[in-house]
Amino acid sequence: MAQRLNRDQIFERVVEILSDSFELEPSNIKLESTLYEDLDLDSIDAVDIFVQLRDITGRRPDPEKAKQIRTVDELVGFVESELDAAERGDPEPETQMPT
Amino acid sequence: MKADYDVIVCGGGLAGLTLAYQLRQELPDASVAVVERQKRPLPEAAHKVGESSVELASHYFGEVLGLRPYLLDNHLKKNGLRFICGNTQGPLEERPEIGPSEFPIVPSYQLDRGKLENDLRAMIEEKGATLLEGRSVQDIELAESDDAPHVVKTSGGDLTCRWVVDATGRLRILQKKLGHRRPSPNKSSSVWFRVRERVLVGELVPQEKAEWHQRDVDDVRWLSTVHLMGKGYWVWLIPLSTGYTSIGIVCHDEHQPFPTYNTKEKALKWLAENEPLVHERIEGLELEDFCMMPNYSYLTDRFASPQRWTCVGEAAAFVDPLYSLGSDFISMSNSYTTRLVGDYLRGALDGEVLEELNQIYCRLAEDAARTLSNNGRIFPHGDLMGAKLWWDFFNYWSFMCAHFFQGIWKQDAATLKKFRAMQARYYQLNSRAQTLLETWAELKSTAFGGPKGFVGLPSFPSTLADAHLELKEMRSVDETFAKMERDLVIGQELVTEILAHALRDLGSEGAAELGRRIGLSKDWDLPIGGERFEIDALPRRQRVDALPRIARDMERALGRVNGDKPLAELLDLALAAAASAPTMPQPTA
Repeated sequence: MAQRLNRDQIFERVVEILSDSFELEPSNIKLESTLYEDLDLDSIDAVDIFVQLRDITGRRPDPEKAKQIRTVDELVGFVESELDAAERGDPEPETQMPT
Repeated sequence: MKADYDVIVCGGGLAGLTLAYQLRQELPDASVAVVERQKRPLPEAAHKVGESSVELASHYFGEVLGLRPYLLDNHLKKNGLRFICGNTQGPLEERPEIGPSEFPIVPSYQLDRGKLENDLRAMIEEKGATLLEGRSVQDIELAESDDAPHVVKTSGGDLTCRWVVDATGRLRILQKKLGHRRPSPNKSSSVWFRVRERVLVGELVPQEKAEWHQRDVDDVRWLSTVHLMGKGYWVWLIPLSTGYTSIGIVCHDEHQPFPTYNTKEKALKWLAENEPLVHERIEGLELEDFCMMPNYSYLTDRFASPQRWTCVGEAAAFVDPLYSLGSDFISMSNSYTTRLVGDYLRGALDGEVLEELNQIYCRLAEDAARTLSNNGRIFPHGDLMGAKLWWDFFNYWSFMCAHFFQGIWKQDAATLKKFRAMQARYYQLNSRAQTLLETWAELKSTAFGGPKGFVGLPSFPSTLADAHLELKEMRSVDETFAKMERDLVIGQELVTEILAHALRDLGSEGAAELGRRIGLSKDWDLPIGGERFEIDALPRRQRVDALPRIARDMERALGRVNGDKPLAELLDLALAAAASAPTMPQPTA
């Protein structure tokens, strides 16, 4: 396994994903930025973000938890908690029918 | 009419056996015999190539024949088709990967042909068909009048029947005898073999490349048919339920001549040069059952005749293995045959119905050949291949799958005629889409285009994902037709998006040349007029909100390259260049 990412590194990766996928200026993406207002993303963008985060977490995100996330800071925190869960070997949520 | 059997099926391969099963199931009063040269038991894992099935054939095997429980217990559930493009000499984790991110909802299977055909032989006997093993078909003598039986000449004597089916595979007895063989535009060849262990695509990427491995959260990537794509060729990796792996090399003759890979030694050397990671993985393993098929593609101008015969599976046509369509064509020719034989035995065979089905079938094969030939330049590019896969899958699910899943082939002649006209519209659009993709590939200045990383095929939620899920919904004939009409409009938007991606990617120089070579015109049924291409210059959020959903899907799938000029100007350059060039022959509907 690769070295576990720290919080700063996770933030860097999140900025990279957001700027590459959604034509955002990296300097405009801050921890306190809100996804849906400041960054002007929508629910389909959110799905694409979580698909890309699987490269980092190796886990299928829990849709209930994912829905609560409003800011970049919360997104970084979510990746951290997923990495913790992966280390503990927590079971993953059930596959959902894509809708 | 006195005859030994109502139907004789000449040849007991996958096509012949599943047809006998279907005939006995749907027409229990009909007597059916299958004449097959090879005796049981067939060798498992090493019997025949053609393991991978896609949606249409999976629907046929699983639902029409009702074999779903058997397939789930005895074969592998397949995780779709997976394509790995990019630089074949570099690390695999850096090559663009296009495929499903989770198990597809509409199932498909990896079949072990030896096991399946052994089991099917027992099943058709249970269903009451007569299996004449160890007898080869030497000739089929067609009756000279409507009230005389056909005579099937076999190594064990003559047999007579009211309806004869040629399922002799590439022998194509009737096609040869009656002059119905037609050449395919696809000039390609293939070799394949098996190794006695699992060769997993994940083994070609070092364990420490965690991101690549973690992308596949359920560890099911290996259950896909994996295609490693290079310029003018591709290599397949298919896992078999018996623990073997099927590996094949398919090359377009113009890019990679057959004599460079047509023996075990040469194939290994070819792999070392073209797909070194695969070569490294299998070096030292025994290549079992090395088989080859030069120039494998052919078409037909008649699969069914009012003279009471049909040809099924490869005895009619064979297009290309890229999308695993072989068993789809078995499914369609078998089902059409079952319908025609049923009509005939009831004294209700309508010559017009037969002719409509014949034309639909031949056109489907021709359309698939159009999709699967002359495309070798597309293979290395992740963006081009992504665009092609989005269109090809959408096209496949919208017409070919829909007509089959919804049982359109059971309808009367007038209805069939209406759907055949719809097919012609899809055919024309497909022809334009393929020309556009091929020409984009010819003009591309980079060796490997497209986004690195993973592209969902389909991604969720998207128009393509909907098209896939909607396959399972049953519709009336009218609803099916209306849906095909709506889907054609979405298809036109999809092709327009491919054009937009191509124009931006090629920039002002390439755009004019693209327009000239494809003969682009405002008369094409594409929504390229009005504001559509002006919107492209808007910031992402406004653009995404203003464009049709498919435009956004394509951008999510292929990424976005900005052109050196605004898209509307690039389009004008392409149209102007086409208008000043000599007229291109256009595909006819």
